[in-house]
Formats: sequence, C-alpha cells, structure tokens
Amino acid sequence: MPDGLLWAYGVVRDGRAVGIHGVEGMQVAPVAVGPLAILAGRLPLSAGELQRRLEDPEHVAALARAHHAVLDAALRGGDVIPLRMGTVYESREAIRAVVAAEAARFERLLARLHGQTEWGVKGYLVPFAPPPAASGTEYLQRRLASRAHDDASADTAATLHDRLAAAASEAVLSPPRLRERAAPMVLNGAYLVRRGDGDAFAALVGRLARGETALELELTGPWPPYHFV
Amino acid sequence: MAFDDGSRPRTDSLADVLERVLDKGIVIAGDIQVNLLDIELLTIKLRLVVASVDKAKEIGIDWWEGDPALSRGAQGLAEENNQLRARVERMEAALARLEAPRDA
Repeated sequence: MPDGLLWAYGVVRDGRAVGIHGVEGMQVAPVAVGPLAILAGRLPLSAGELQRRLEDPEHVAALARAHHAVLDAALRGGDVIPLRMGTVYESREAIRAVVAAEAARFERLLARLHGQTEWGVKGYLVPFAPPPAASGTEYLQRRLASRAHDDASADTAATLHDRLAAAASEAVLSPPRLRERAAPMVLNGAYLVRRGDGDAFAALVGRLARGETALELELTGPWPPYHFV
Repeated sequence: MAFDDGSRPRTDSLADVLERVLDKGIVIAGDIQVNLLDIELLTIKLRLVVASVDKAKEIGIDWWEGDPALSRGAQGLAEENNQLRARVERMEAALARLEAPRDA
C-alpha cells in the first residue's frame, strides 16, 4: 500500500491542479489517464480511523466541508464532476484503473455539464401572523385562514419552481431536508445554469422574491453540479 | 419581498453542503467500503452539529422525512378544511345559542 489511502474528490479534464488543501489538510493532485483525471489526496488515516471519523458528526461535517471546498476550487477553474463523499482508494493505480474504466461515462457527463454550474433556491413559508383572536370562533377562522395561506404557498412554490426551471438548462426538485430556519421549507430546487447566465438567474430569483409575499427565497451558488451527475 | 439582493449568494451553509456532499455526487466504486451512519441517527446527531455551528439560528432538520407542508395530500387538506369548517359552524351555532338568552 505505497500511497496509503487516497480520498477522491471529483473528475476533471486536463488534470489541472486546484491550489487548495483537502480533507485533513492534505494536498490534492490530479491522477490522470489521458485527458481525464480524478482529483485525489492522501488520507493520513487507516480505513478503521476513517470509519470512526465518519461515525462522528463533527468529523462528518469537517470532511464534508473539506470535500466541498476542493470541488468548489476545481469549479473555479472549469468543469468538475463531484464524487460522492467517502470514495476512497488504496493506490493511484486503482484510481487510474477507475478513470480508464469509467472514461466514457465521465466524458458524457463532462460534455453535458460543460460551462454549467448549479444554483440552489429554497423557499420558506412566511409565518401567517393575524392579530390575536378575540373569541374561539375567531381563533378557528384564523386557523382556517392560516391553512389556506399554507396551501396557497405550496402552489406558489410549484409555480416558482416552474419559472426557475424555464430559465435553467436542467432542474431538480428535492424534498425539504436540512434547514437552518424555523420556518417550514416548501421549495428545495436545484438549477443547472450556464456560467454566463448566473447573474441573470440571480436577478430572476430577486425579481420573483420581490413579487412574493407568502415565501422567503434563499439563493445559493454557484455550486459544482452535485444534483446533475 | 424577502430576498436580499445586496447579499451574495452563499455556498457555505453547512446544511446546503451536507445535503449535497452526503447525498449527491456521482457514485463510483472505491477500494475501501466506508459506511456513513444510519441516516436517521446521523440526522439526529447532525442537528446538534448544525446547532453548534450556528447557535443563533433556530434549527429544524427534515432529512429524508419530507415536510408536512409538501407531504400533505390535497385530498387530506380538503378533508381537513371541511372538518374545520364544520367545527366552526358548530361552534358558531353553539355560541349563538349561548348568546341568545342574553340578547333577548
């Protein structure tokens, strides 16, 4: 095992360096076969130590951030196919074998994703806040109004997604997942957008947000095309 | 309007990073089989991590569970609305009966 373990980040063309350190502060370098390369870095851990890291949430968070940071740096230099976190090899030779075996699949993905980045748009329900109810009847009426408000918001989320998808090359709607706000998330969309159109997409989100009272929109990006590989 | 044009879109939210890195990205065979935590357990534990990263925010995690706002079917909603309407009507009728003698 001359290389120790190697952590794989993503697939790039023309084996460019990313100029950033990866998980556990280790260097990252392309492992190439022909025009394709997997960005990889040594892992100063045994398989058992890695597994223990992956069972500790704080380490999972740190590994996730480091994995993403390398892909983010790679994205600044061109196209990149993100690999699922936790893809680990025992040698550069093994990585080269994978690049060779998967070359056709990687080429297809890189061709489809060329010049595109991912944007995320999340929509959160604006809390329904009527004045305090003076009676039980008013209270129930307000509960009905609140439910109607939530229903309208779900319709709004679907409409917003359609508008955003129309401005994107591809779009993916995911169930609401991790959220950092108390408000319910009703839109969790990912949109593949040409690099030159990123500003226009952000402006579209801004316009839609200004016209919208039921939802708060949150835009993130540009991301490596995680949702589109 | 809730979208702040002045702020740059972020890609540093732990929730957004985790959602992508743990669940998205191409899957290819590695040499070492690593196992991530059972997803439900990870969810509970990550709640604590996310909370410790940014204590100022109120945290909710709906990993893989969906959200009632989305998972509630339209039919269920209509039914629930009807039930609530019926309850309001019954309560209004009851209130009217209670108030009637006083007004009389």
